[in-house]
Parts: sequence; structure tokens; C-alpha cells
Amino acid sequence: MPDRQSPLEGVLPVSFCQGTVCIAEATPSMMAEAQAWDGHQAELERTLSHWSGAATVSSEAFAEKGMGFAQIGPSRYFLWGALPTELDMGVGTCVDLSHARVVLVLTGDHVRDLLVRAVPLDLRDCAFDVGHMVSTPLHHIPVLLARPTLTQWVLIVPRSYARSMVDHLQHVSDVFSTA
Amino acid sequence: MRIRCPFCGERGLEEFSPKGDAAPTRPALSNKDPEAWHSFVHLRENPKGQHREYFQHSGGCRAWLIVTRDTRTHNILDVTLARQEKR
Amino acid sequence: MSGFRLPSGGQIDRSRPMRMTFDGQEVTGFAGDTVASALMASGRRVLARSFKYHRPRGLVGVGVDEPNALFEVVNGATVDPNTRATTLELCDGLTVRSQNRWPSLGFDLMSLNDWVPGIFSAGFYYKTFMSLPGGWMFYERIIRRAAGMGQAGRLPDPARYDRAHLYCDVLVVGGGPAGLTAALKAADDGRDVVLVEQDMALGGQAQSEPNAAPWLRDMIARIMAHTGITVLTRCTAAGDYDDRTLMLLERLSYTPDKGLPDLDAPQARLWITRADQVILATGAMERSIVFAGNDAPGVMLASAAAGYIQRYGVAPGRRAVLFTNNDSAYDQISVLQSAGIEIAAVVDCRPVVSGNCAEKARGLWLRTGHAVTQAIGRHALQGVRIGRISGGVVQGPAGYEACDICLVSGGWTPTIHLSSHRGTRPAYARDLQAFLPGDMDPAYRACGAVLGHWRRQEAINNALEMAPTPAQSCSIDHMPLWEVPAAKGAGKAFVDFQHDVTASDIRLAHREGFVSVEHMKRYTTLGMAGDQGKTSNLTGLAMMSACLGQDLPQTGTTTFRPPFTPVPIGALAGPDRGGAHTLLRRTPFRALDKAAGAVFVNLGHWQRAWYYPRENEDIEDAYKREARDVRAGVGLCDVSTLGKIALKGPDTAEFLNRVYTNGWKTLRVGYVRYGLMLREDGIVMDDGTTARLGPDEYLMTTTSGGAGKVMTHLEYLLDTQWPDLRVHVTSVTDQWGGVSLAGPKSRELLQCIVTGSALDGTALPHMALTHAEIADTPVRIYRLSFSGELAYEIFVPAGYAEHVYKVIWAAGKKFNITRYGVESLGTMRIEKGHVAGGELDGRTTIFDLGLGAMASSKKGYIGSVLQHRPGLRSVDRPTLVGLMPVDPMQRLTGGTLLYSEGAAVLGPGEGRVSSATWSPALNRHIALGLLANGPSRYGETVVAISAVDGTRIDVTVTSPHFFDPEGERQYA
Repeated sequence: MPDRQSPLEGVLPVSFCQGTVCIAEATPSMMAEAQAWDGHQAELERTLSHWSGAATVSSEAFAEKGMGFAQIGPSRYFLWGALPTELDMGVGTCVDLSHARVVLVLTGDHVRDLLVRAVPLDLRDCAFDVGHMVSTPLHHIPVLLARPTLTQWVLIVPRSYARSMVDHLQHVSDVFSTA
Repeated sequence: MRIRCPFCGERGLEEFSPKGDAAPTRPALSNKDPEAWHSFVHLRENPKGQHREYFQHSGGCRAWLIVTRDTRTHNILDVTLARQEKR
Repeated sequence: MSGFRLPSGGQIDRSRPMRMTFDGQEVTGFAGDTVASALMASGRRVLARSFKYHRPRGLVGVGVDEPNALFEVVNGATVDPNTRATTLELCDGLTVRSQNRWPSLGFDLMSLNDWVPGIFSAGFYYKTFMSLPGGWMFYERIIRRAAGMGQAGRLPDPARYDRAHLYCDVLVVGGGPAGLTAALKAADDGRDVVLVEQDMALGGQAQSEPNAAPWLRDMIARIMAHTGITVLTRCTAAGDYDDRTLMLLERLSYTPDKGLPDLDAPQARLWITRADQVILATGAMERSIVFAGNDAPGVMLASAAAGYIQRYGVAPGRRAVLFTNNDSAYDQISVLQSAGIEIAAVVDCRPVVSGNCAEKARGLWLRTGHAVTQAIGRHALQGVRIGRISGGVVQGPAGYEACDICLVSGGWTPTIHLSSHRGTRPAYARDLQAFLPGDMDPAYRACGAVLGHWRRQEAINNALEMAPTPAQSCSIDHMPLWEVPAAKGAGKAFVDFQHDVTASDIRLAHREGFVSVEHMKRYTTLGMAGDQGKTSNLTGLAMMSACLGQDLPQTGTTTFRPPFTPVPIGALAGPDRGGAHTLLRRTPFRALDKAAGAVFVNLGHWQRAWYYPRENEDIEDAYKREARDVRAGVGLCDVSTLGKIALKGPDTAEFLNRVYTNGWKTLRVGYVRYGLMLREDGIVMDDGTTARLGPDEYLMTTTSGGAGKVMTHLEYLLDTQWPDLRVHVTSVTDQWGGVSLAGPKSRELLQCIVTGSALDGTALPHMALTHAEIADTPVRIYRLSFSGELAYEIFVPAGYAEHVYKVIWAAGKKFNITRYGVESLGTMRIEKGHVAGGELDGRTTIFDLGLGAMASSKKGYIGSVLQHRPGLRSVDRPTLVGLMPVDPMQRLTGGTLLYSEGAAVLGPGEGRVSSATWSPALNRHIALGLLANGPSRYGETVVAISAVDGTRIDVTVTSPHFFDPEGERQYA
């Protein structure tokens, strides 16, 4: 098997705003989405917890060889890392997205100042807790935004938009970093 | 306008895509009466006041919602997951 | 006499002089000045020429309400017209120009307009120029050149604009006494507060009151030190929208510290703000009184004069007449005197004033029961006439008093605009003679002068209340006086300065029946200029009420729409300009295609390889060569943009049966089927191929452009219509890169590189799929064809796509492999008669397309009933045909209409050309089209007529399957 190529080869890691925002890629080897049938959601969660050791949104989960899962819709879950993905058809379904997503890790003092220019969310500490993952549009395209720690943010973006989104973040930070 | 998605919380209107009136009931696919289908596909009430309508949270969790909105004021009175509506 | 700089005082920094240029002349001021205060200090009186009459005008106000002093700000090649001098901060090197005058401010030929009696009154366009010889179309050109104020720039706005989202618990709008108090109170209660103030400094009216200075200093210090308050000065709350969403526009350039704009830095920032609670502490604006000649430079608002003195250390003149109908003007007396201004008279229309006022006016000539009836002076105020007034009527002759400034106070108008942006009608408070915010949503609250608490301490107390209520009675004694009736021949009396609307215009509107406030506004244009009538709306309304003999609220209420002050369109666009407007979506093969010299075409967010020109080739040469080479050997095309949807679950086949027109329950694992989807109304929506990968696992493809629509459609059906079906759908477009390998050599090529699966015709028949490997990489290979050649679609996980592509390409060298793009792909599918975008245009049914055999009669599906509506089954409907120009070298164009030979060229004809191309296989031009009764007219000649360029081309109607109609090549 060849190495999986990243659409951001040669582009990341990168830093913006005079070094106060750093973006690096941390795409795990496996990513998938699982959905439960009506009435089987608790079962699906138990299965995912069992697979991942109940790992969820944390900086370990997004480190190399990390794993975890998070609920991203009423009965939909995003999972990543070296997890099994064969789900009992009686519980729900799982679709491999290992090549369809790219994971970006954002760190630095001004990450939030950048993110409030990219997504329409309330990112104040009181509104966006550590350990959460939400879906939100980034320039009108749905992405996942997670906050593993107080200072670390994770964006999970579609592969075909990954380069454009990094360019967009650069463009947006260009404007405000000179203010 | 802000809509409170039952899963994602309150989000701006730009994250949602409207589809229209949630009231009409789809005829069974075995129903061959064109009038029944014409009514379902084309005919709509246009109330001044509360209106139950479909929105998809297309910029977020992609769940389909039933939003009860007052057409006079845009006030949103209720939002539920369409999937959980009793049939 | 004219304005002058005071030796001390003001909030300016006298250690930092700043130089600007005004109409080519240098003017000096200090950091902290506005252009208005600097010009006032330089002694200039005439700063502008009015809109219609080109009358000389000077400063009236000190803030955002200023109607006259509008300038062009010049920065290199860009010009910003209509910029208010009172809110434009002075910075070093600033260049401004007066506008709307020719040849100069001092001598403006257009002022001839002023001398022509009556011709430019309200509604003059309709009355005068419609019936004159030459008609409106002639005069319109002249009027258009003369109309307007500043000149709009011709260049794109070079400025950058920042835009961000802002969330807070409490948004306090207004940094005056009430706003400061409310912000501190909310923050002390633990709320997360944003305090926004449009001015460059906090304080509001308190900045003009000498006694307020210590309190103000203390408040500002506490607020700036409080971690719970974010202060945004130079930031206007421009609009209030649904659900506590507000638009805040923060000005970032033209400050004394930042200087002239550095175009790399943002000039302004738009904050899209959501607050849990909004407190409107927007204060009130002083209004004037209408009298003859009241637009002479030197007539200004009393509080503005105090503002220039206190804030900028500039006196507007030397000898003042104060004219008022209320107590507040008396507070300005000590400020004026401290600046050394001689007060010639205090003219008060009230017959009796309080002892407090009399005390403040001690030593001055206080004339109660009097009014200023006329201002004398054109380029500068010379003096005023003062006469006795009783019951709103001037009694007897008026005496003359020389002065160079006349400071007028007609009362205070609460700044209620934001409260009515979402349609809440303001409430009239009779005692206050003011409109207050109406019944607002409980999340909104107002406090301070905007509720009629005029005085600072009242405003503060009101802001401290749990639920601030409007003032019950007016704390500033006043007597309504909107207009001093002008004597005959005394000249024009202005109501709306910026649009040159006079008192007689309002009475004219009344005589002509335009009596509702909406009609009066539009007929006279009162309140429609850039200042949106901030100083004139209420006066105009009161004057119309007087004409009608009724109360103000009976006449109507002024409501307001965003923005409160002008917002640059660029600020709304923010960073989303030019190429940044939409995100580009890249396929996994983009880099390889680029390296191969592909020219790309936009398709939604994607860019697809359009054609691959070799040296000296244009698009025509390229696509013809590519199509020829594919049919001769083998070609490679990137098809990654096709929508791909994974469907999983035990009820998937049933679901497919309901959304597609054909049957899916017989599709075996390892096979692919072509499917057509209809809209609910029976029109064809999209097509694609769906493969069965496992017992309960399918993969659907859609057209590239239809992917989003189809995905939404499937999600809608599963979530809302058939939630009992056990099917999950997931978009996997990005998971797989896809290439089409087509041509007679395609199988041979694949057999060189594919392992793990046989590819001969029996092992992999047409419309079957297999899992295999290419160079250690798992791939899925479908045998299907869009081009009509023996062809395969190869799907590879996107991260391995380039690797596999290179292997295919290398192996293809010995077969003369060629790359082909969407242009030649289109050519080949037209040659085969396969329908695509040109035919699936939202007007065609499955029968129109000649695919009626795919419309199952054994089941119901989306659109199955309505597609049989008589109008959609009529035999006259345009149906799919092939078209061959009688002259094979004549080119057809998509969209051209088809008519029978000899028929009149009227109406929509009998059909249209849908997709046209040069056919390399047939060596002639061909097209697909839709023609009434099409299939029964093969061999007939019809005419293709373009209404755009008039061309007429005879065409023969044929079968749409031009090339290899039996499909021998693809079934090889």
C-alpha cells in the first residue's frame, strides 16, 4: 500500500498573524461516520465507547496514533483512529471517510480571533467547552470544530476543500493581523 | 433570524435551508390519483400567523427540522426534529 | 467674523499639530480635532454648497447629525464622497475637497438655481420637465449631471475590510452617561458586556458639560479597567436585526494615531453581533427651529457650539444670539462666556422663564416672548431680526441685532432609530413632544435621554433602574415651536438642509394632497438624504400636522431602516471579494492535470479539466484531437467531481425503487445500473449510476452539478417522509478519486496493471464491477461507458489517487494514451446520443428524452403519477432527436429554436437545439435537440433560427444515436 497523500503537502505546517496562529495537519489513519437506527443509539454509543476506550475530544485523541469519537448529529457519530469499523447492521451503519477528511490543529494566542472570522459560532469559554465538537459552516461549507484543550482547536474539513480553507484562513488573518 | 436546532443549539439562519410547508401529507406511492399528487406537490395554505415548515440544518448536523414560525413577525415558536414527529 | 481657536481647553492634544489640505489650501489643527473643528478654527465659514440651490452652507452640528459639511476625501486615486466633516478625524496629510460646486466654493455658478423662483420646489421633475419641449429624456441628462452631491469614484474600492462574529451577554449601544452607567452595572452583575460608541471618545453629551468632567473621567477609568467590558469606540451600531443580531461598523482608519490609510490594513471592521440583551442608550439629538434664512453659515445648534468649545477648544464666532424654546439652551451660556463669546441677546419664545434660567442669563439681554424671524447674510451671518411672538404668530415689526453666530435650540429628539429597525412603531409622548422607542422585545431595553431623561443625573438614575421607564413629564421646560412664520419676501426657510427642503415645500405637499408622512417624505424628499433627516424628520412631521390641524401621531410616525449611518458596501463583503468569494474545490488529480497543461472550467465550486491543449492548439483543435484519439486508442479523464453517495441498510433497494424510475430489487451484488431520478412534479431531476457493493450496501453517483441537490433530496425523504426505512446516506464524493479509461485499448491497458481480478468480457461484462488492485492499491473498477467506447471507471481512495494515475499513465504510453477533458467527453456523448445537462434542463420528462422504457409501470416512485399529466404526455412535446445541418460544415448553437420549413418564425417554434458539437467520428457538425413529435420526423428538414444573430440553418432530423448505434464498441 502506498502512503496516503495529503492535499496539504508542502503547505502545512504554517503560521499566521506574526506567528500567533499555527496550523498543522494531524489527519489520523482512519476516519469514519457511524449512524444508529432509531432506537439503537445507546447501543451504538456503547459499541463506540468499547472500541475507543471511551476516548473522546482531547489532545491525546488527536495526537499521533490517537483515537476517539464524538456525536455530531442526532444519531450520527464521527470516529477516528485505529478503531474497528465493522458495525452490526442491527445497530447501525458505518462509512469509511479516511480519505475524505483532513484534520487541522490550530494553536496560538490568536486562534480564537482567527476563528471568529471564519465560523459564525459563539467561541467564548462560557459557550464552547473544552472537549466539545460541533458542526458549523466555514465559508458556507460544513466542517467540524473541536476544542481538545483550552488552547488547542481542531478543524475537520473535507479533502476537496482543504487547501482552499487553509488559503481562506490565511486570507482572513492577513486582513486582521495588520489592523 | 436564529433557529434553535435541537441538537446543535441556536444558530443563524444562514446555516439552514428552507423547504416549505410541513403540513401536507404525502400520498402512498401506490396512489395513482393525479389530483392527490397535485395537491401534495403544488397546493399550499398561506397562513397569516403560525406556520409549520421544514428546514434542514444544512450547514451543521444536516438534520431535518420542523420549525413553527409566525409569518407575521418571524418569531420562532418551536423547533423539533422532523424524524421524531408522530405520524 | 468667524470661528477661532481658543488659547486653551478642549480634548485636543496641542503638542501634536496636524496638517490637512482643504480645496488645495493648507489648514492646521491638532490631534483630536475633526476636520470640522479644524476648519472652524481656521475661520472658514462657507464649507459647502447645498444640494439643489447651491446656497453657501456652514456647520450646523458637531456630530453625526451634521447635514451640510460633506466633503470628498482624496487618498491617492480613490475618492470617498459625502464624508461628514464632523466625524472625520483630522490626521496629518489629509486631503479633502468641497463638493457640488463649480467652479469653486466661493463662486458657484449653479447657485443660479437659487434665484429662479419656484422652479425647483417639491416634485419639480414631474411638473416642469415633462411638458417642456424636448421632453424629460432631454432634460434628464442635464439634471443628472447637476444632481447629487459628491462624485462617486470610478475605481474599485481598494480598501480591505475585516469582518468578525461577536457574541456577548449584554450589548450597550451608546457611551454617554446612561450607557456608561448601564455597562458598568451589567458588568458588575457578572455579565459579559460590549459597550459600543460611534464617537471617537466615550461620554456623549457629557463631553460638552464642564461640570461633568470629573465624573466622566472616573467612569471611563472604571470601565476601561473592568475585565468584563469590551469597549468599542469609533463603532456605530448601524442596524438591528431579528433575534438580537446587530451590525456594528467599527472605523479603523483616519485617526490621528493611524494616520492616512495604509491600504494593506483594514479600513473598517464589521462585527456581526449577537447579544442576549440589548440596552439602547443612544441619547437624543438637538433640533433647530425653522425661520427665514436659517441656513446662513453661522446659524447652528446651541449644544453644538458648546461641543466645539468644550471638546475641540474652538469658538464658532464672537458675537452670538441665542434662540430657544426650552431651558437646555441656558446651560450653554456659561460655556459660551468662558470662550469669550459675547452674547448679544437670549431670545426665548416662551412668555415666562424660570428663575433658574433667568439666573443663568443674568447680565444678558433676555427677550422672552420673542423669536428670531430672519437671519441676514448669505456667505456669512451678519445679524438676525427679532420680533415678538405669541401663539406661534409674529406680532409687529422685528428689530435687528448684529451677530456672527445664531445658536438655536428647538428641543431634543430621542435617537430611537435602532428601536424601530425591525418594525416596532415608536410611541409618541405628548408631554415630551417626542417619539420614544415603542414596545420592544423584552430582551431590549432603553435608558437615558432616549427615553426623555434629558439631564445627566436623570439619565444615570434611569440607567440604574431594573426596568428603565420613560420620563413621565418633561424635565426641561419647553414650549413647542417648530417654525417662525416667515414674512413675505423674507426668503427661504429650510427644514431639511441636506436635501434643500423648505417650509413652503411642506405646505406645497399638503396643498397637493401628499399629506401622510410617507407621501410627504417621498414627495418633498425630506429625510431621504445621507443624514436620513436626523435634524429634520420631526420638524417636518410637526409642520405637516399643523397644516392638517391635527396631532403629530395622527399624521403618522417616522420609522427607520438600517443603516443608521452610511456603511461601505465593501465592509459588508468583508474578505469575501474577488477570488475569495467562493472556495475552490479541488479533485485529487488537479496537480497532475495542471502539470499536463489542462485548461480548467468552473463547475459550481469545482474546476474540471476542460481540454489539454498541445502546442499551438486552441480549444477546437484540442477537443477534436482528444475525441479522435480516445476512439482510436485509449484516453484518461478525471471524473472525480461526480457526486458519490454511500447508501447502507436493509431497506436500501426499496429506497432506490422509490426514488429512481426503474427497478432496483433485481440488481445483484457486483453490478451497476443507470438510473434516472424525477422531481416530485415528474420532470427529470438527475441521472447517474448506482452500484451494489454488498447485500445492504450501494454506491450512487450523481451528476457533478446535481450532487448537492440529490443528497438533500435523499436526506429529506429519509428524515421526514419515510423515517421507518432503514437506510443511511453519507456523501463520499471526496473519499474517492475517479478516472474514466475509455477506448478500444482500455482493456488491454488495464490488464497490464490490474491484479486480483480478471477483466475479460465474461469476467467483467458491461455494467459489472470488481474489486482489484493497481500497484498495491485497492481500487474498484466499473465497466461502463459514457463515451460509447469500451470503457472503465476506476475509483481509488483519494489519498492514493495520484499514485494510481501515474501507474495508469506510464502503462498507457505504449498504447498512445491521451488525456481528455469535459469538452471532448461532451463531444463523444453527443455522438452517442446520451443525454446530459443540455437535455436535463428542468423542462424535460423521461418520455421527452426517449427513455420511457425506464419508467416502470410496476411501482410507484417520486414523480411517477404527475409525469403522466396530459400536458406532459402530449404528442406535440419537444422530444429527443439528432440534428445534422444540411451543410455539414455549418455549426449549430445550443438554444437555437427549430421551426418547420416554411413556417412563420413566431413564438417559441417547435423545439430547440440542446447540445451541439463538431463530430470527429462523422467529420461534420451535429447536435442533439428536442423537437415536437421528434421520433416520427426522421429525414425531415427543419430550420434552426437564432433570434440573437438572425442565422438560419437547415437541418435534417435524425436519430440521436449518431455513432455506433448498436453499441458494438462499448459491448466489446
